[in-house]
Amino acid sequence: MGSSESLIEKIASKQQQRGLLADRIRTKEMEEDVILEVINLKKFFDIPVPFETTWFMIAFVGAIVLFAFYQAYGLIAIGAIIVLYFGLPYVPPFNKRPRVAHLKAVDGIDLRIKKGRIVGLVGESGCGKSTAAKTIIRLHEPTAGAVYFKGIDINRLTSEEMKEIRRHLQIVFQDPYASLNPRATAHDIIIEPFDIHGVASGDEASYRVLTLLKDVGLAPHHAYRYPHEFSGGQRQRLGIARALALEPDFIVMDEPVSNLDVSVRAAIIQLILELQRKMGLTYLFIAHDLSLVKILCDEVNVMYLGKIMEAGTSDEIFESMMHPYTKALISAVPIADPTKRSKKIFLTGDIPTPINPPPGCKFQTRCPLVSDVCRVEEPIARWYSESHVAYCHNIEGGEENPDFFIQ
Amino acid sequence: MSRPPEDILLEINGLKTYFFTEEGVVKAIESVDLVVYKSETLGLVGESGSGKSVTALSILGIVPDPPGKVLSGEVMFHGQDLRHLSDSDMRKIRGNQIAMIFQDPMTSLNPVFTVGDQISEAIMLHQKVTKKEAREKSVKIMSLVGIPSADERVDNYPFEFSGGMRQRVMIAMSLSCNPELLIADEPSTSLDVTIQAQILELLKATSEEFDMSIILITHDMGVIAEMCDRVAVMYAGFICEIGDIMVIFKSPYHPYTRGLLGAIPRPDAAREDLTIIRGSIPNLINPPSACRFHPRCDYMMRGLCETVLPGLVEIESGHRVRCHLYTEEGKAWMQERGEKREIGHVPKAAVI
Repeated sequence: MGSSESLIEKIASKQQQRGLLADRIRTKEMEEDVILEVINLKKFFDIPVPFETTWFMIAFVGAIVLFAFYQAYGLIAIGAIIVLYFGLPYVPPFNKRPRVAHLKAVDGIDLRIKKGRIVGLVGESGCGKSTAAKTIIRLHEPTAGAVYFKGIDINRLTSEEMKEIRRHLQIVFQDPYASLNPRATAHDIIIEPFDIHGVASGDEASYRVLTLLKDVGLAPHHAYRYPHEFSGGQRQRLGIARALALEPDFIVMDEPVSNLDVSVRAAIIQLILELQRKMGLTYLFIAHDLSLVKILCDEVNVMYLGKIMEAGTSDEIFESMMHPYTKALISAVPIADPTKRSKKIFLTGDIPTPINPPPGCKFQTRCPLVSDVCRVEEPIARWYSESHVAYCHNIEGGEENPDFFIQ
Repeated sequence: MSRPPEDILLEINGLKTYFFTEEGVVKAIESVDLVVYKSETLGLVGESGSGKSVTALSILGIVPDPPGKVLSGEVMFHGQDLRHLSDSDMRKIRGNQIAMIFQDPMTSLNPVFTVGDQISEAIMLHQKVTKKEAREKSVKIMSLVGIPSADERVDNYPFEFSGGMRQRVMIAMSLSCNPELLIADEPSTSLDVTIQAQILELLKATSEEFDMSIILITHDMGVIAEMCDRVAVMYAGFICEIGDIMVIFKSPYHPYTRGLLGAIPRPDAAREDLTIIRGSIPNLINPPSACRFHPRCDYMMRGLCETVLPGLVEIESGHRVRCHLYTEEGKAWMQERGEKREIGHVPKAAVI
């Protein structure tokens, strides 16, 4: 954990050695306790929009038939079709037609994650929370925006430098079976990061594997088993052990317990909490189970269609939520207490497609408070305390600047 | 809390279903006894592999055979044992008086027929109506379950619907013949919470409107708490506790129910309150002897729990528990050793 300062220095000195200007790597003065800062991060996936190929194909077949009877006319027709097919996309008004559509999975999110905190990212499926997490640790290249890890803009690092940083940014995936190599034993899986980063080898590495297995609640004799020989909960423990191998500072937990049974789920949650206490880890915890997020996370970010709708501490989000989406989402969670059957807020319809999201506020199509301004203008951040921010036109109060609360 | 016997709609006694696979005999259901009253919602809760779905399939007689086989037990519905009905008689009941909704609507809808065709098929099978009337009825029932512009969407194919809408189509199909009992097998598990709330509300509203009983199968204690009147907790092929929802959530008697309630984040719980059931779900090819929960149980009585299967003990009317903590044998065991084992009734996480 003490390696983080040396890491920054190492990268800085490397830059000097190579004579590169420091501005290639943007650094940012960050507050002492902030470990990761995400600024206006966007990730769009390109989806090709085909030009009307079908009609050209039909015309082309027609031209070939024509060629069979009248060779000259046929040749002219074939030539014209080819010219039109390749030329038309460059001729107005056809050149206005987009060649690719953007699937706006993450459409500008901001996060500030403080050291030692558990930050939740919640939302319905398809809202972009997993893409956001993967983009944050640069498993996807972002379309725009910056991620500062300990002041370094990680998206500007070369792959070699990124490898250094990767040791400190780890991820645990939802489906442990899909993310563990079925042909490698537990020992091989956990020792791999040591090999790649040259941290330890031989007996020392094997010894550390056994220690890690013990840390995550597995026994030494599990080391030579294959993933399929473990139960779901044990497999997830193995995934956690692999993420811990390089002593990271920051771990993304991408729905680590969604696939597990209730009794096993509680055990994994306990393990995640225990490791955090012991090693001072920082988590970005992605989940759709809000009752779990409520007890687990210090801060919660609510996402909808690639945007953060509301963010705040766990208490602020669950006790004094402001945004209509958060209200609906939280009221929809079934409460395991038959004496508290709550009145629900029902949202109509489904999430719109992120390929063509509605203009203005993304939530307008399902919002119970929707007004005319929502349909044209994107809402700005309004702060309700130093940490509590919501993006909505139709809620009262709030300040436009969080500094208001600091004084 | 128990209601008079004439209110009983479905009664299951000693149901036992095994699967004869190449690896061995999977003892999926060992003994299931339960009663469903008229116009109530009974929750069937348990972890994966506890036999919830197999119970549902066994009721309807649609356990895949081979490898599955219902070995014994009776399923009494309107005074007749469904297990002894002929195939054609059973077909008249299935979908007509007892309907079922499956977890994944995409795999249970036929992708090459329009949803209107599929709903009409169910109607025409059980009622003497023309194709046109069946179609009109489909549109009516589709708008009833909240599908917007149903008269157009009736001609759409399943892939043109979203997950929540598909589940609505499934519900429409199952409601089309006004069943008396609806078996809903994890109807909302694959859906988002906002959609789940819609679907559960729809089920609740329709069960009231049609005066229909529901067996709601789920692993989510939250859904049970929201929806059900009574709940049966299943573990490894046994019903371990059954009773009124308020009683079970407030003071569970079975150690497993208690563990299950402690393992879920509840409203006023803190991080530390999450309790763990140690160990994992047993392999049902070679399950633990006698009480199948004993290897994971904190109250295990050595020499008793692994040798003698506890019977269902009636704690109070309508609340039955299968655990030696309450049986005569168990009491004798405790007296013999001078030990007192008692379950702290309210799990720590539950502050009701």
